Amino acid sequence: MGKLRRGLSVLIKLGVVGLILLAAYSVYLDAVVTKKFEGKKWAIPAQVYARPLELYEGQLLNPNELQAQLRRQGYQAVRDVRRPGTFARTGSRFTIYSRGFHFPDGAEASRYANVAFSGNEVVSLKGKAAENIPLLRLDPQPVGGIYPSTFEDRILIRESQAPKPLIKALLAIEDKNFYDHWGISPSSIARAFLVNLRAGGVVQGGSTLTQQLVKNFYLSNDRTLSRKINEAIMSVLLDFHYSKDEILETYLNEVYLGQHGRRAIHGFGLASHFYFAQPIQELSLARVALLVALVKGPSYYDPRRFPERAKERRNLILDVMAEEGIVPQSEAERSKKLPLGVVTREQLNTSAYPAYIDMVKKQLREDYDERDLTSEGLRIFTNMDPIIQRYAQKSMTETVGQLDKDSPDLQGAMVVTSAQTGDLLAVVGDRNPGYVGFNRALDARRPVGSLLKPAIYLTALEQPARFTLTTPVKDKLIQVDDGQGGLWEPSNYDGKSRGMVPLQEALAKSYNQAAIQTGMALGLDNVLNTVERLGVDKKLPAYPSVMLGAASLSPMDIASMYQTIASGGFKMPLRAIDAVVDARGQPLRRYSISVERAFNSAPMELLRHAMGEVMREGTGRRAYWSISQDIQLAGKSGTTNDSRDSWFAGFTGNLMAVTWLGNDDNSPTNLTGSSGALRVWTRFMQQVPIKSVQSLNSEQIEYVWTKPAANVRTGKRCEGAVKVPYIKGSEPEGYQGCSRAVSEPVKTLFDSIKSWFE
Amino acid sequence: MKRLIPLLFAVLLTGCAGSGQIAYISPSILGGGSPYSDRSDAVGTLLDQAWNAMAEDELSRAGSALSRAMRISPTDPSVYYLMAQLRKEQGQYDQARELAGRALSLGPNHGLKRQLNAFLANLG
Repeated sequence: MGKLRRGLSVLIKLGVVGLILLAAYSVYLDAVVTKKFEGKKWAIPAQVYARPLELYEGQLLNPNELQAQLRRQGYQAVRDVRRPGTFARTGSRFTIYSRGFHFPDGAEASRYANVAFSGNEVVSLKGKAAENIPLLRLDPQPVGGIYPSTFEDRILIRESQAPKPLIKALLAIEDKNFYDHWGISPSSIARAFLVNLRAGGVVQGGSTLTQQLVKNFYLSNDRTLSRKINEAIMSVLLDFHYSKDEILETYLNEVYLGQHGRRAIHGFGLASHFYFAQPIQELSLARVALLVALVKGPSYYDPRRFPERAKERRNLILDVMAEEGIVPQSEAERSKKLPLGVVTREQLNTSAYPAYIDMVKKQLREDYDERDLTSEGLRIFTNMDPIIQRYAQKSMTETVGQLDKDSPDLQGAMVVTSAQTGDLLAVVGDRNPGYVGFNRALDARRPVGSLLKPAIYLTALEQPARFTLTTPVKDKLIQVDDGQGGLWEPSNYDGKSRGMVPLQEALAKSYNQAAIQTGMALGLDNVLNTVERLGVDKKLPAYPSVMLGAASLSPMDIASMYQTIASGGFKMPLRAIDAVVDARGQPLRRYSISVERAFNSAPMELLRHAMGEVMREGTGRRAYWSISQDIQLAGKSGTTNDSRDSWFAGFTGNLMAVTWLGNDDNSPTNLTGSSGALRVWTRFMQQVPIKSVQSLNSEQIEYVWTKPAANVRTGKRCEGAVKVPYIKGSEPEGYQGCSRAVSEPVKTLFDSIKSWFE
Repeated sequence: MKRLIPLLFAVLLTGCAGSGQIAYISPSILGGGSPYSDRSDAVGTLLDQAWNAMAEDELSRAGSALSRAMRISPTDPSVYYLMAQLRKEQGQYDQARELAGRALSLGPNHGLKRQLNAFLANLG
């Protein structure tokens, strides 16, 4: 008896201790539950947007491109345009109902507009009441994110933003008793059993939404009993502390709904974009049902990989919705007949532009911590032009595909900017679109060949008393220091020396000996200084061979250099980012244009003229095989020893592009700048709207009829007469009429003596 | 009245230039409406927005409108001119000078060229 009593008392004591321990443990779990729920719940990756498409009268845009872009942004083609995010097209006329969007400079309201094209030009833009709309800015296309190491991605939504049928269907399927239970629900388990029995399969789980949330939000994925107990206690605690709406909203954003490579798709907000490229508010009933269907198993029901399976489950959800009276039976039946409507991975452009995003990250890291970028939900507005970017990649992929017969591993890179403002419009880092890895546009530093020659001649043209475009320069053998204690004897591409040639022809035909002779006459330091003033910030080694492109630079470095020429002598940073705003839409920083005059207009105009000659008469002329002669182009090709690198850098009035082709292992390619990189450049320029290079407005320039080969003025009707720009006072003194009689200028004694030594 | 302001502006400038003085009139001093209020094209609309934003001291919003205008018409000197005026308002005198120089390099018409030169002289 005594023993029994003693035993009982021990048991009671143990029980009390147990209860105390359980209570203590619950207090601990309570702290865990509330701490995470009340703090910042998730690390939200920075969202990166392309430049928004703006429509206005006079804009040059291919109407098919507009349609393709609308589709990429999830605009639905409909017969009757009544809702944001829809459009209709009849021939050259569009009706677009744009989505509203919060831009860094304020909110852009959703808008109904009729757009009419004539050919590739927008000729009218009108509202519903036929009023003129000066400008229509579409919402920008999301093009990627900056993810934390977990690669969890989500777009937060409020409960009020979720379509009503979504929440009703979710509760009907996952947790019928949600508003009544205390976080756990024994009766749900029983009900689930019955429902599943009736449906002949598992359509409903026994866990409450609260439990599912706790499981994903707080706990690891192992299926142990202790975890199940934790889950239950924490669910009750969560339900005790927070309202049903708060729990539901957290669930909507937490739930795992898909996988995209390493990137995990969380929450209905992002899932809507991931599967349909649409904001969640715009989803049709069938699409809402598909998202609800995915909750049970996003990989098993992956609509891209297992469309049949996904469709079956979606239709099951629609049936349940009809049964529960969430939607009328007829609507469910109609929805069941619809296709899944999932955008393909190709259409799903998020992360399709890794090379551009690399550049964005590089510029962001100068101003932000990695942690802020991956967790603060920043929104990054870039200058990427999605249409230009696609054409750039396409031109690269197609051209390399044609050229790679001799070298199957041929690679390429490309950078496109706005010629006047330095906005970075496109970056291609690999022949294949969407390739993530070595980004050649930024990181491949390769010998640049003749691309530095414009710097030599610009240095010369800044001294109008010594050099003009028609000044004869020596295309003769020369020996220079090779930087390794020996002598180097550069030769021309065809092995011939041409004696004296006009400066502009020396550039146009890319004669190496003329370039190095001129460069040595000017002084290596002066030429390298010009390279630096043009915007190459890498220090180049001071060897003469550098002037012929022995130095290695990336396509992005070359883009900075040619940008200064394209903009008429103004140095400006290449800007990938336009603005950064925080998660609440407050602008943090704007990256607006800043310019700095680096060269006078007059010598710059002469150089641009010579670079025009490159395209008309020289190594760039094949561009005019497919681009109209009416358009003035300017550029320079580059080829390195044994054709290891094929370069082209050049511009139109509105676009500047640098292209490079070569093998990663630096083996020969058989391609010159003209036969390789120029083809990519030309293919690109012929597909996008381009404008002529305009002469720079300089009062110091005058155009004179000249015979360049003889470096003399001539009559405009004489044979071989061409108009050449000169800095006033530097035009040739000699005049040769049509009859070939040269009137020599009066030579001074000094000139005569000098000529004995030449 | 709105139509008169640009005219008045031009007359003032011509008058001052004639007497050998240099005048630069900033939009905020001018008071009246925007000289771009009559324009209905895309760039004109944005210039008008920028001008009004500057008049309301919303300088960052003005910058956004001008960046948009520049994207649409990157060789329009009047866009660079208004951007130069904005930079001056923001106290960025070097950029104001550079942007005005850029505007001059883009072939402005006679009237605008005069204004730009006056603006530059006023910057010192």
